[in-house]
Amino acid sequence: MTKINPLYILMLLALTFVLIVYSNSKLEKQIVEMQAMNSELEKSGKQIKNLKRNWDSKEQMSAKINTILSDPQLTKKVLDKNIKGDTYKIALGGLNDKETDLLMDKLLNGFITINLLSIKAENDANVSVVMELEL
Amino acid sequence: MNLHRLTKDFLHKKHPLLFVDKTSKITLLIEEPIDIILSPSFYWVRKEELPVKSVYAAKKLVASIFEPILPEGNYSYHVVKRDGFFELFAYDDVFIVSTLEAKGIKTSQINAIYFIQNEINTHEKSVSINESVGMLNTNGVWSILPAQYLHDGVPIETIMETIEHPKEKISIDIFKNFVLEESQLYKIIASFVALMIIYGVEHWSLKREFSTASITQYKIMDDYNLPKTSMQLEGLKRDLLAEEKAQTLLRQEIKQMLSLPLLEGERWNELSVKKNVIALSIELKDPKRAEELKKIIAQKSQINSIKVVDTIMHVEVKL
Repeated sequence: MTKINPLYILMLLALTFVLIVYSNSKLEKQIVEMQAMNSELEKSGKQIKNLKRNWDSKEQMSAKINTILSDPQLTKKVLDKNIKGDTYKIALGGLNDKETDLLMDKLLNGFITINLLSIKAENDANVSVVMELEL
Repeated sequence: MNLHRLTKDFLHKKHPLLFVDKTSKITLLIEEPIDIILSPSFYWVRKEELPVKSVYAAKKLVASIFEPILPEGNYSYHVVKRDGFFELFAYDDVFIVSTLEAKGIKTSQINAIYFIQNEINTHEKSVSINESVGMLNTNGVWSILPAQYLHDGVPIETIMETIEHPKEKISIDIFKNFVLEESQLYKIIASFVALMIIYGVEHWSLKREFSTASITQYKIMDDYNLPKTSMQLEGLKRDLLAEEKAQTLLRQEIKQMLSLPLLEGERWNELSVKKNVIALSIELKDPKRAEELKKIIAQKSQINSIKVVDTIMHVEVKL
């Protein structure tokens, strides 16, 4: 009759059991951590995507500025526009109060990076605006 | 009652020595670990000349030498080479442990076990163990005999006094009595396999989940075009948020400046935004109004400078 010390089997069983349980619990912990990290990463990703779209996209920024300048009330008041590197310099003149308000409303309520802005009002019917916007 | 004396000499011996025979009656008065020297009543011994040279080689033969003479049982063997002869020992671990336990000696208290055959250092012919048994020396092999056949035996206590350091430690498997039938063994193995399968499946499932989480992470980074390290990611986020904050602040200041409550006849002449500064020029009707406007501006902005030249008020606000 084959006889084996049960202690060896129990030890092997206990050791294997402990190893598997330890390995599984470690893996479970890693999964929970990774899922939490993924959730945080996705949140950051969405935030960064929005921030980039709003403030850091050259194409989007250029399109937004051109949309403002193509407004029928403003387009004829554009005296000069010049893209140099990452900056867009625009000069408008002869704006009346209404047109100035329209320009400011679009400029200040849109996601456009303003580097420099100069507004000079000779009188209510002759306002000139020079701005340097970042693309 | 034969109460053997424990030899306690900590200067020469690590542990107290105790001689035990099957007939010994033991009363242990100490709890510290002890070394036990067993009488021949606990083992079988043969002195043989074998056609081998090493103890290692002799150990391979010892089972077959004892097999014809021992009762059926589960034995362990020990071999000592002395004076060109091999002394072969057979002993039953379970019997030794259970007998010692029956005499009140716990296995946890036993430091080591020795056989008297290997430790005795005398040329005496006989040794007296107690009133019923003794040991006889036959050609260097000590065996148990009833006391009635022995005369003038040296007391075992005297022999024990001569043993300073026991030499041949015997390996006793205290778990040898825990044996399993094959059917029980198969049940345990089956349970073990079942457990392995359950936890193995769980492990496999967790590995897949981990792999999915890893893929998801790469996908998120790819979808949002995120940098590889968390430091770069935090840096990018910080820069974009700082830019947004600066632009939001700039707009708030411009709106505040353009919405100052000007009276009829008052108007702003110029507004310029430079790096960290907004400058505004307002044409006033009365220069005294400058103080009122200054208070209004100061409520929400940090004024860098303010001056009034004729009726023109020049204000510079920090962003």
